Amino acid sequence: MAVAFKNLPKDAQAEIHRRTTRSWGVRFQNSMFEGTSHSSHDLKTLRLIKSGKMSVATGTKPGSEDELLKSALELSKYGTSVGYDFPGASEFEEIELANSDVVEIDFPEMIDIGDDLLQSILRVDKNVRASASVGAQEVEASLVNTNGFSGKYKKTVFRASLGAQYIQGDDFLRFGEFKSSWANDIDYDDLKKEVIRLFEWAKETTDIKAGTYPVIFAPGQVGHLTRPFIASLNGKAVTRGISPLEERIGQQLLDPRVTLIDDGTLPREVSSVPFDREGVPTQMNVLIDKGVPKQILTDLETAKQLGSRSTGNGRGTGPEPHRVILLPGEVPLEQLIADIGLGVIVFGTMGAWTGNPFGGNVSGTISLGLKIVNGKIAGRVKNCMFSMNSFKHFKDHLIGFSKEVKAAGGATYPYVALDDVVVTTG
Amino acid sequence: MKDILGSAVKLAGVDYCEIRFEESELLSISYQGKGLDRITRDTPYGGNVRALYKGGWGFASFNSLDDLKGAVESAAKQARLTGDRQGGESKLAPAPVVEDEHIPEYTLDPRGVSLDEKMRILNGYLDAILGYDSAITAAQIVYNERLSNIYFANSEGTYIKQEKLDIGSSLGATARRGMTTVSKRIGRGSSIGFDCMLNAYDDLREACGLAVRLLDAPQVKAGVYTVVCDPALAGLFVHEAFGHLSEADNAYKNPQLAKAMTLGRVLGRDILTIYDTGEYSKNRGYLKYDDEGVATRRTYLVKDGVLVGRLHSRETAGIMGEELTGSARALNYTFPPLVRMRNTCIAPGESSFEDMIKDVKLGLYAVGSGGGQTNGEMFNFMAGHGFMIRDGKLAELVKDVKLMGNVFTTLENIDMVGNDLDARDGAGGCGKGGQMPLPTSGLCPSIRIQNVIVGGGK
Repeated sequence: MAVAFKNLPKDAQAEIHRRTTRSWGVRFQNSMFEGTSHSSHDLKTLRLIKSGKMSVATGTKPGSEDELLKSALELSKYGTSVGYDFPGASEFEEIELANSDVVEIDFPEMIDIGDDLLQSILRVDKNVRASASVGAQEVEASLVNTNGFSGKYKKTVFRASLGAQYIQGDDFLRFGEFKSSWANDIDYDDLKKEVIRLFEWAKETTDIKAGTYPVIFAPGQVGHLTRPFIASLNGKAVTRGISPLEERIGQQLLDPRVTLIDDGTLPREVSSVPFDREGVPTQMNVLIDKGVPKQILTDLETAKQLGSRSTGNGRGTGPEPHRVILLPGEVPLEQLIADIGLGVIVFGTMGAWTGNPFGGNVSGTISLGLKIVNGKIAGRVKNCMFSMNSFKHFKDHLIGFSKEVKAAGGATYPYVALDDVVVTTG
Repeated sequence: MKDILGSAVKLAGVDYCEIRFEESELLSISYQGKGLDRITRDTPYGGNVRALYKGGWGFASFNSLDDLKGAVESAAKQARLTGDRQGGESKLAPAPVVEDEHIPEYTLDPRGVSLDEKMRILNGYLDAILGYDSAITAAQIVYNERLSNIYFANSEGTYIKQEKLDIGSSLGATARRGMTTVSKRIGRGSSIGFDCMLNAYDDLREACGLAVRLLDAPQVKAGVYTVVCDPALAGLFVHEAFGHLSEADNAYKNPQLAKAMTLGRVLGRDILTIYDTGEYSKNRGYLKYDDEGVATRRTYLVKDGVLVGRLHSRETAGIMGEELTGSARALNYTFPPLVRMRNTCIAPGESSFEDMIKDVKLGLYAVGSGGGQTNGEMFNFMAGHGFMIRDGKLAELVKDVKLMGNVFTTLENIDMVGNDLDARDGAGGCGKGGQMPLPTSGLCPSIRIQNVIVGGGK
């Protein structure tokens, strides 16, 4: 890659990021083995700063470094004005992110794991159309720039999912869960238990009247509720003048039980990295501390504009969190459910990701929701929608967080119980 | 390329093998806030091999043509592993062997428009947004232009080279006052010309005006309403609520779903006709050949209220014994094709907009599309904004409009179809199986639906 640097104009600085990915996996659909896949991908991204303007070129063609430089130079006169330099050599802490066992997992082993998962749900009810997948990924990333930064790391990711579709006439029930890890240490029994428990809870349908209810959101849905906070504490939203929290930093905005963290430094976590996409070491960022917004996530550009230091969240397209963690409570889920006279627990939603996050309103179809009556699950509710406002509900209507947490993708969340959530039904 | 792919595809030694190779160039320009955010040129380059043996598929993708032989061997080995385990039979609907090279007839080839000119046009839109009103605090402009050469060869002798253009763009404004923030945007898109990006000022000013007005608009009150969807939202509705359900890879090995979607089933009133097509080159869903080398064709899904068809890949058509539709599409060379929509359309009806609202005592006119989702039975989609309908007339502006419903019930509840056909395009696209955003479009009239659940405030 240094070839491109050699041809760089004298008044320019550049950075080359390379990400080589090998992914392989098996999938089961409609209660049967469907197929395998293997992908190799080698992506190079060149960022160029010339006369204070940034341009970017990416490509996957082998030996295309000079073409990337040519493209970036062509775009540079139109580029984005930037007020920073790429960082020089820096110390970053190595993080344990790759497990050699994952690289050794082959298709037959994956097929056996997937088949075992599939059979577990088919043993409960042979009429479901079960699906499962098992996949592995090996990633090598490197970053080098003309100012002296050079770093690389390896990661491994292993994933397994189990789910099913249960159709009776025009009634469709879809349910499922997935787990991921840096190593081949997924607790498959736990995955099966969760999915089977969901199926048993959801098999029978019931109804609920429109109104306002206490609602528990399962960890997989909590990201929709925290989206307004994360979007509003993003340096890009603040510098662009669209964040409603710009003037609320340091003020008591939410219930003191709300503490939200971003952490890219955790070892053996699939979303951790030793340095961000721009070469800044990652760190733990307390976004909201006991209900008080504290930290804005930044990259080099937004940090410069805000007069601060990058928080290590650069992704090349703006700041992004690494792993979002909502600190749990002390109450078990069982107790949260037991304390509700009439309410809903939501395991699946649709469309909750749409809409303007900066206003705080969150609403969506409840695609998998269970009615709670006198502290017990009383069947699946259908044809309903929930609406709430994160700024309002995490301030005035927080019942509590469960002590159980679940890690999925780039987040770790507990169950979140909120009161006064609008439920609309047909 | 023909010789390279044609020779390699013969090495697989399986029931069927295909190779798809892609050379693309993508120009992305985005503005956020008050200025340019990012300008990027991407050059995706790579291919994949798909092999079928005794009904089992293998798939391998690669970046270098030097790795093509290895990818063929890998895909074939995977297919044998899968096929031997399944012990089934490879069933692909027969497709004509084609040798063709397709280049779209451009109205304004973006390669003939200089980057200077593209920037001048986009900068003009940026100035128009930011200069509209002091309440507008930020602009969001996205312009994506992808030019691809896709080479396809299969073991049956088909070889196709397709040049494809996909332009997708959104131009938006954000208005903010205190904790209240509202965004509005308009979409543009085409498969044949940069001219889709011209003359957007009138629509843009309207969007800016709405963003400012929406600052003071209340959130829609939750409830069940008669809803009139404008053509853009009707396009999103037919895509989310029905289009995905008609993709045969959901049903071809699922007898319960196949039963729910039995051809001949009455799904709606006789005013409702829905089709999906690769025609309409002005829209982003235009496609001559799909990613299995099958020529696309107009596919009627619902005719006069009756379910009459579904979208197919060669495998789903082969297993279900139905005709090919040319609907197997992949986002890029790193993915195998799935059954996907192209331009999904509702045939226009005879009702005027005035007819649709005149007898509505309390309802909602929902305008614009902001994304949606379906799980087969239920759907959810977001409108850009809405107006309440009171006593047959448009009344106050409302925001945060999300609609949901049961697919089957909602199709039955469409009681009027408008005569105001319009297309929906933008910067986004359809997502399925991790492949997003795939360019699709809608060409629909306004529709009126009874008893729609609308989420919102108390």
